[in-house]
Amino acid sequence: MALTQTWVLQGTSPTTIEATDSIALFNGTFGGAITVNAYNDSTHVRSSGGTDDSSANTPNNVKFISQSSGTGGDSQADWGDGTEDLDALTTAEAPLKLTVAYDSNITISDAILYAYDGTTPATAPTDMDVYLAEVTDTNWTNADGSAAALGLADKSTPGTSHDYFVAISIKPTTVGVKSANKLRIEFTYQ
Amino acid sequence: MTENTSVRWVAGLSNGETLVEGKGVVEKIKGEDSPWLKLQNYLKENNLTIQSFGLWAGDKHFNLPSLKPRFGGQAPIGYDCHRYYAGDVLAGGGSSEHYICAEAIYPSYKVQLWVDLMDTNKSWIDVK
Repeated sequence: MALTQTWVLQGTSPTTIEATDSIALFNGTFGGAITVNAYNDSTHVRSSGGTDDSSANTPNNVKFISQSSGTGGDSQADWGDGTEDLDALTTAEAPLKLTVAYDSNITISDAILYAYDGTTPATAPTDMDVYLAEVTDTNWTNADGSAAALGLADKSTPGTSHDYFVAISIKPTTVGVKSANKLRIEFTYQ
Repeated sequence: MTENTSVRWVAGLSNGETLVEGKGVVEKIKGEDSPWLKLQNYLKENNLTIQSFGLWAGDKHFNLPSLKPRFGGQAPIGYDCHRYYAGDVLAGGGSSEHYICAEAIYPSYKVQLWVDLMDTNKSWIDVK
C-alpha cells in the first residue's frame, strides 16, 4: 500500500524533482540573485550538490506581475509571452506538476499547498513572499504559512493517479539565500 | 510516504456481516477501487447500512459509537473514513505526518477518531 507523490518541473522536457532536490528560483540565470522586492525570471531544479538538474530542459517559469490588474480583477503573470491573465495559463505551461499516486483507485479532497519557514507550518517563509496558483485559478494566492494555503481542486473521480498543475512565483524581501523555507502539502484520501 | 498498513477500518453491516479493510469484498487489488470505495458500492448495491465502525491496529481496537451505543450514548447517523497526509515536499522531504481518521456523523457535528499511521500507539478524539 504505497502512497507516492512525484514532483516535476515542466519545460521543453520535464525534470523530475528528486527527494533531495529543491526548486530554485533565480533572476534568469541559475545562481543569479533576484533583486529584493522583484520576482523570479527563471525556475530550476537544484540538486543537493548544488548543480542545475534542469539545465538541458528549458524549464517553464511563471513570474508574478500583479494581484488584480488583469481582466475583471484577475491576477497577471508572465510565462514567456508577455503579461497575461493568470487564468490563461495552461497545464503545459505551468512550472510544477504534482502527481499523487496510489495502487488502488482513490479520491483526494481538501488538498492544500503552502510555503513556510521550514520549522513551523503556520509561520510564513522567512524574508520572502511565495505566490502559488493552480491552473485555471484567476488570482494568485500569497501562500505564506498554513493559514494562507492555496486550496487545490478536489479529485472526486476515483483513480490510481491524480495530477495537479501549479505555478509558483517568489519575491525576496531581503538580501540573501532563502533555502530554509519549504513547501508543504496536506490532503485527505479514501 | 510511510504508511502503516496494519491499521484497518472494520465495519459491522446491517445484514450481520463484518467487513475488514483489505479482506473479502473489500479486498485491496491494484488498479481497482480502494477498499473504502468498494464498501460504498457494496452498501449501495445491497441496500445495506453500517451499524458499527472502528479501527483495528493489530490487537488494539478503537471503536466509534455504534447505532446501539455500548455505553448508552447517542447513535450516529453515518460513518466516514479517510487517510490524511501532510508533508514537506522537495529539499529532502523533511517532516511528514500520516493518519487514518474514522468519523461518526451526527446531525450537526461529527466525532473523529484519529490514529497515527507512523506510530499506532497514538490516537486522538476530535469533535467538529
